Amino acid sequence: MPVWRSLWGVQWVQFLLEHYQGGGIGAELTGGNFWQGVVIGGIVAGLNHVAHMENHVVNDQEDPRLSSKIQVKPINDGPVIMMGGSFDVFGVFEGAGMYMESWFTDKGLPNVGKLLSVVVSRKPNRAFGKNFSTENVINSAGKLTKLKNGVRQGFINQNGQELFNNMAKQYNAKIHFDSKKGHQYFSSGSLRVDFTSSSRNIPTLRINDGGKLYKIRTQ
Amino acid sequence: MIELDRIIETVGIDTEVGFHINVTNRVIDKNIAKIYLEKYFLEGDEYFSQWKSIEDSIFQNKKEGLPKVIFKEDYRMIMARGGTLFEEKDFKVLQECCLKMGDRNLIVIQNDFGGEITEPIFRMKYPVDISWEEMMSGNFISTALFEMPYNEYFVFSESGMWGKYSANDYENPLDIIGFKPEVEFAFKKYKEMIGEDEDISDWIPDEYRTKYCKQ
Repeated sequence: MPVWRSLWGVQWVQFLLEHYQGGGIGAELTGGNFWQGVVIGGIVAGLNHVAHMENHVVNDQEDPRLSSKIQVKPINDGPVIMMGGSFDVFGVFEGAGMYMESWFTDKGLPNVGKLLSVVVSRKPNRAFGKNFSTENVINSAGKLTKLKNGVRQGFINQNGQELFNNMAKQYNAKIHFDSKKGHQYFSSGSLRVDFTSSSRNIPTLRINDGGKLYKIRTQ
Repeated sequence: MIELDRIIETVGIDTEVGFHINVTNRVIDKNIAKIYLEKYFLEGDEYFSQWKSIEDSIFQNKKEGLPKVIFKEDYRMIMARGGTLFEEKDFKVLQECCLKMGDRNLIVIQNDFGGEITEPIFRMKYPVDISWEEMMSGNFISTALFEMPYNEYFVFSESGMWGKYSANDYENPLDIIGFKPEVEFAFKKYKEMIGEDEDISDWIPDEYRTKYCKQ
């Protein structure tokens, strides 16, 4: 039994492997709500091929933002898939199974067969349930990154517009349209939330919670 | 002056900035903002006749911004975590760098991404020895410029030997300083300051990584 770790457990990994061998992995993964946000890395490469890619950046056709986050670095004469930010990477090896990138990082290369593919997925956020309070939304973004002037930034793997609407509903707040800036916002007491697309079309919630500023990137 | 009045009107009714001022127990004061702009706003005539050509000699890909390389080829670059235009610490270190190079003015130009931002943009001209307190004294103008985490800015001086791009709205906000090799000496302390920050290597766009960050 191969050593692997998975965020979603055995069934998910087995599902992936079975369907990958059948050639249908892409279609299965991108269909249905359960798989929303899961993307497949754009490479299906042999081990030798990958080993020659120093600092190679994997481009993903479905989400160009991945391109700056995925690197394949040779370590100990072999490839290690390195990830940053809000993504997890799994390597699928011939006859062996799926390995999460942290396994390589901890233990070096596994003694397994050819690397068949790399699967990239968003790290899952904590579940919201029906609580769309600011505190719950911010907590769901996981570990926040510190920016200058105390601004905090995080990512939530959810539709930004729906999230914004649900937050407004949570606070019984009326949604306004800022015609100057072309985006929506609502406020409630010392809370204000602006929903923008950012200058690069990344849906973003700008939360001002009593003077504390948060940027939550969404889908 | 018409442009200046438009800036006051636009920023003055920016409800996002106004909310931040109110919620941090300050009071919006248009008179203070107007006096500040009269001192430091860079009018169009002067900008186009004296500063635009220097700006264009330093920066490229202004319409796209990051991840495109924003500095021209003969500039070396250092990068730091971004988010807002300045905070006191990095402003003072940059100010020291400017004084070492003999700069007299600090120019701040908001990126309008090739005209995509239609509201009046910020264009400011500060004396290089301005105090942080004076920079921050412009009421809602200073709040919009230095506290809000979404506008992006070009910063440079009359020398054209260096520049800063404040990519606050990039997915992973970055501050990028570009300088010509001749003035690298002046940025020693800035580099030391960045070295104290946590690692941002994951944040650097690939084009920068492969072309400019090999060291």
